[in-house]
Amino acid sequence: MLSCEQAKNLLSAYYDGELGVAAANEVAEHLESCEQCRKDYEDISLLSSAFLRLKPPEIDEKFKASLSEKLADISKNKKPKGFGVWAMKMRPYIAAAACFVLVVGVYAVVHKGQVLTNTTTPEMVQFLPDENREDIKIQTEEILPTPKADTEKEDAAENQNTKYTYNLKTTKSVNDTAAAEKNTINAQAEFSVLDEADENTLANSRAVVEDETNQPAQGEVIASLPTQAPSDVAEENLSDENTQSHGGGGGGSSVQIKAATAQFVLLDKERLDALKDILYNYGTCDISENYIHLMVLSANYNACIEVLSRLEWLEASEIEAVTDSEYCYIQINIQ
Amino acid sequence: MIVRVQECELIKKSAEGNSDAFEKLIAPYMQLVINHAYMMLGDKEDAYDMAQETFVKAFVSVASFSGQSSFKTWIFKIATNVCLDFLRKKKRRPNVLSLTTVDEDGNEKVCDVADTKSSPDTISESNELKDIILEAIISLDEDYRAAIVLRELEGMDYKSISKILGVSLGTVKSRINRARIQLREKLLDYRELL
Repeated sequence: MLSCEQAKNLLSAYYDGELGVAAANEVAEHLESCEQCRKDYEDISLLSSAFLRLKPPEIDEKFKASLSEKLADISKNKKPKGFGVWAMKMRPYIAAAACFVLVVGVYAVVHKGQVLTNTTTPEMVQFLPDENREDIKIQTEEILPTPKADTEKEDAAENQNTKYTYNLKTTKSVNDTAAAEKNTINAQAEFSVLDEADENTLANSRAVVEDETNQPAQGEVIASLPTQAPSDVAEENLSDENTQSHGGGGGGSSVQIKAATAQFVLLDKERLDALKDILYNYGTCDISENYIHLMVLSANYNACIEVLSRLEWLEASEIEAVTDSEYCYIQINIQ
Repeated sequence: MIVRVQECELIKKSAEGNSDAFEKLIAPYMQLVINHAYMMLGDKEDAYDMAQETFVKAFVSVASFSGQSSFKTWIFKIATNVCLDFLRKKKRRPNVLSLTTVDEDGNEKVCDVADTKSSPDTISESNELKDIILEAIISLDEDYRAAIVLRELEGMDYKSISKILGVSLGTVKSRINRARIQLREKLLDYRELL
């Protein structure tokens, strides 16, 4: 049951029919039992009738004539602004279009670097002509040390089970994307007709995999340009786990995916050149005195394994199944 | 679309500058706007002037009428704002009435102003009661006045009043309630005559 104070606050709205059903019922219930509030309600009714007593002035002809004259004057000066009327009606759409253009413009400015930045993979680097490779900006971010790799550095000849860990960072911008792509296509076409001179050129232009002593900070892949012949590359650190860090062009989060690996042993050293020819068809090779390390796209991994497995002078020692990682690694021990 | 079809045609022509169409458009609202201005201002001449100003402003800006509210609500919004502006300007320029005279010796003395208001006992069915009621309404705060006049004179619902005054429903309820409380106090002595 409402109190008198509550009822008085609602009386006006109750009189005007502006209360909800429940509230109106409560007020009505209160009025049945409260004489004072009933009196207040009657007063509101009296005030309404008081307004009806008032007699406002009526419109006379003088008022109408005066108003007509003023409106006519305005009409003469008021040019029917067709475009103005149209613009008024289109106002919300024009405002929406302006907002859209503004948002697109801001987005383009903010993401300009990312939109126009191309990522060159290590494979592409080796196919680029020397002059284009100079345009490549290589990010040489500090790589945090991987304690595990430091402590587990072993001689590969003594431990056949050591695995090769790649920590690649490739975030480069190639100024001439079209030229890079063209060179890539041309370089791939050259695979089938390699001679010794071409091989040396490619070997020198090959991306050298960094020593995986350190892991990348945020999953970015860096590949440095070769400053020395592949044979001079220091032995890579070996760690128990093959991990691969992937990152987007903008330095996305690091995703550690275990890459598939395979190991072979070259039984006939005289077949080394032929082996290289085959391996060049599948990925990036890193050749040292004792090893050949091949980094191959996962999509090509199985095909490569199949071809290598059929070679009589190549013995498979360990082959893992392909994983969801982008690359797989094949190590061929040269005896 | 709240606006009637015929009204739409008149609005469209008025927006193109047709004053005849506009006069037809405002014909149903002319007396209502004058009534409203009279209640707000308490003076006949001021009411005519402000009503004219309302319609002139409406004609100038009719092209911007979007139809989101009724044309009546739109006109009354203009009328209320015109009246409130007039009242605020009038407040800043108070009319000073001199109550002093100079006698034959050159001395100033205050005039005795006779109290012409009748007592409740003497008031009959005369214009005095209307004047008293009008005076009570005019003495209300402008914001309360606008709300109670729109409600009592035009019978507008609270939602329309909130659109015209540009305030919330709760504020409308509060203003109307307070206006009635104040009017009741002012007219308490004349309750039996109402």
